[in-house]
Amino acid sequence: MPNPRDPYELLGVKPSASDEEIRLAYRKLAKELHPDLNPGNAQAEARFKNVSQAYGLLSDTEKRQQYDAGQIDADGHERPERPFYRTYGDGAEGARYAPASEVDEEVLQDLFGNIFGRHSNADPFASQRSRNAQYSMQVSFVEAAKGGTKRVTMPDGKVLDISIPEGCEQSQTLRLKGQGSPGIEGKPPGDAYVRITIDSHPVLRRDGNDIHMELPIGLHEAVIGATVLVPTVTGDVALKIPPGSNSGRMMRLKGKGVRSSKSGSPGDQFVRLTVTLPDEPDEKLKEFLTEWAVDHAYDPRAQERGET
Amino acid sequence: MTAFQQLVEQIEEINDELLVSWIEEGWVRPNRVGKSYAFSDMDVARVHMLRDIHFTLQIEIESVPVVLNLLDQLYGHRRQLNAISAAIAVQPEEVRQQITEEATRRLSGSAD
Repeated sequence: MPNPRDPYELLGVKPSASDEEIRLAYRKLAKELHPDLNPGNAQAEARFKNVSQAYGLLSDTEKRQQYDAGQIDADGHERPERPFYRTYGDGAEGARYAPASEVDEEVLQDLFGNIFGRHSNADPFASQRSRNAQYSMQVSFVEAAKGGTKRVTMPDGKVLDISIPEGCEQSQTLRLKGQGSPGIEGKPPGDAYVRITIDSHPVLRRDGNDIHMELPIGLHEAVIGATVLVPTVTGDVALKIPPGSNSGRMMRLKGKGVRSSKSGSPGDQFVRLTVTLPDEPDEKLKEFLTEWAVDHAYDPRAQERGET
Repeated sequence: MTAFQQLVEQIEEINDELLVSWIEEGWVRPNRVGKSYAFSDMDVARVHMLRDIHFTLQIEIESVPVVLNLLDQLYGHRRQLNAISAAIAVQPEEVRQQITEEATRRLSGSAD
């Protein structure tokens, strides 16, 4: 049965092959498969690694003998990881080794001409010498509410310092003047447009400049009152729950919302209480309430029936 | 960053004299630090590549610049293609569709 890991099969040589035959087989495959010569081919790197490993084993007389005797397997001796140039050549850093005679922008124009067809001598960029760039950026709920500056590296390698306005909205597009792609023929660079996507928050929700949240409280906290920490965009704040707070009660944290870009005054945060019982029924609580209900007549539906 | 000596010890078949000659030819361009050099990760990967081109692929030293020049052009074009792809990717769906169709048509040889 063929073994895809067998070093002889990987190199396409017979187990009786001479050292010279093995060396030639490896060189032939390396010429075909070397990852740096095949930057667009993901399989080449995987195959090259296997072939190199096979060669590493078979080119070592001692290891080859051990393998032939079944003392080590094909994976037995992995060659140390080595870096490949193609990891870097495609990135922005690769520009350092760009052929010296080339001016990138001219090449870019040529490339447009070649790939996308340019038939006359008419310049496709004549009307657009300054070129804009478009990006998108994800920000957290809190970053969007509070605003601030964020340094981000865009997929094309451009690093931008983006000032996120306080209270920025979902899908809002920011314009960064002069941060677009370099202009052609000495024209100033265009603008960068950054479209904001706001992540949702596990608890908080935006409604205009106000923030809303649901706050679960225990039965004892509802009855005797409590002080609990609630999250706001500026950090946790202590919220006082008055004794006898019902489910649905709305508490307001004044000024804890998002500052309006128009009026300049902040919105509020609204906290809606929900009385929550333990997941597991508590026997003691049940006993106590059974007794308590006997001489504490309370019918929460009395009002609906007009009996008060 | 990797120092000159460190790199020479790391890579089989490479010695001081050879690496100096590659630097002098401009095939690898590490940063100068005092009298020696500091190699970035990319520079290190490039030395590995040069070693493979010469020793494994058996390209004669006189022919290495030809291969290297073609490779650098290839990577240059790939960077430009990536930039264009990224620029297309942020266009509205309709524009992307049109570009894809037009490019496919031309690549398939039916361009006029």
